[in-house]
Amino acid sequence: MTERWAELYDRAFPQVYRALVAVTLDSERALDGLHDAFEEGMRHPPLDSANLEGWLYRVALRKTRRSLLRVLREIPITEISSEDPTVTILQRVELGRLLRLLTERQRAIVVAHYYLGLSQEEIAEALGVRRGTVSATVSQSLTRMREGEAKHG
Amino acid sequence: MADKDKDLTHLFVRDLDDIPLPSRDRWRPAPRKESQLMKSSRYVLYAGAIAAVLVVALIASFQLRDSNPVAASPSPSASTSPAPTATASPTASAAATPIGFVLPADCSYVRRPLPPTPAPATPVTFWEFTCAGAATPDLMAVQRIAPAFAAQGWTPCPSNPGSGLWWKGAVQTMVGQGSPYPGLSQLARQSQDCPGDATGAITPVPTPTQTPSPTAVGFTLPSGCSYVGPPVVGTGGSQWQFDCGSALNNNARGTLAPAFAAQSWISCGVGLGSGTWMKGDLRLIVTEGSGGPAPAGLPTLTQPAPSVHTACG
Repeated sequence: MTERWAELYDRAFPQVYRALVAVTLDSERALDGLHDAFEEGMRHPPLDSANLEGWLYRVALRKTRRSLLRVLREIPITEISSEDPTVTILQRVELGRLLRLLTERQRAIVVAHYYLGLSQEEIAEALGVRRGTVSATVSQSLTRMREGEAKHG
Repeated sequence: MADKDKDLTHLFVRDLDDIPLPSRDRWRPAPRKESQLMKSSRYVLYAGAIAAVLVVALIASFQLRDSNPVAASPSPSASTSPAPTATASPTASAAATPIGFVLPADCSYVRRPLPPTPAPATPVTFWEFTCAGAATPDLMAVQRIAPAFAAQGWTPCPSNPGSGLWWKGAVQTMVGQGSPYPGLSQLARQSQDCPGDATGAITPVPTPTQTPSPTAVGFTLPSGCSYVGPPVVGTGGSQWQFDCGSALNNNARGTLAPAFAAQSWISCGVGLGSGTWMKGDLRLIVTEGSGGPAPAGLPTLTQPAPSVHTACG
């Protein structure tokens, strides 16, 4: 089972890693979250079901968010002075400009929704919020990105 | 999905797929050093857990012996035990062989079954097996073993390409490719996996009647990419492995996306490690490979049968 888990982890790693980088804007923290999730999976392999990959994302995000909670306030991307080349790439692209308009929690939700394709129920479980909160946050985020686009364009 | 959502999905995939990945040696955490104290504590815990399991097993065996004389017969196996009844289900202790199923004569189990996973509601027992003359990994394991299920009265359920799923009585058994050996897992029948009506009849599964196509229908791989080996054909469609070179294989969806667009395929969106495209009633799913050694680690293209999936979502 642990071999299967390790294989699954490798398969899901690229997408989950990129999603975590987009949310945390910190490639090392994203990697730490995935490492913690890998070890949890080795100790307690998830059930042999179709949702094994979703499990990895949920656990990695939760681990990453635990470290996030140590940061007592949410920091807009514009305030982050990052020399991380991974994050620099994100700042150059169009999506980076849109994500820059959101709070970290909003980024966590829209990335899970639009990049990883998680359902609102799965996102709610991953972030420990209610489904209604997820729905409202997606809506608010879209509004904020549209307004930002309008100003910019 | 609304148009705006689709636009955003494309934007997210396009831009986030550009984020470079760390080197492969950093994907998994480095092994941690364990102190002697922690090691000793771990061994004490293991010993305690094993003793507890033995006591529980002993108590359970005495209870079974009292309540069911059949269960006390020595080492029951699938070849001698009756077919599972409507109330039969895999128990928490791993049986030596799957309930109600005997491997074909040229196949054998590789090692003792792994114990049921820790899920009180639906314990799953897992075996690995190998068949004489089979390659490693055995990409034809499902086709090789399917006739034995049919001959032993198992009913097929809908399953993904590369895997097989059958039910009999209250038990369901899944066979999947694995590396190095294919796996066989068994658990109590789950209605969502093997749906049936009130009489227990199961929805007929479309079976392929034509020779499998050597390539995906309606799609040509971009130059530099090629199919690896024949497709794996299951009840729900076909699956191909393909190779675009080690660098591009790490981003299979991004590598194939321009070719899909150029060949008039429409993106249905992305999931974890996969992307789905549609053209007419054809669908293709690109699944990222594990990045491990070929061929097991290569990305795959899956084409569900048109009668199973006819639209996005």
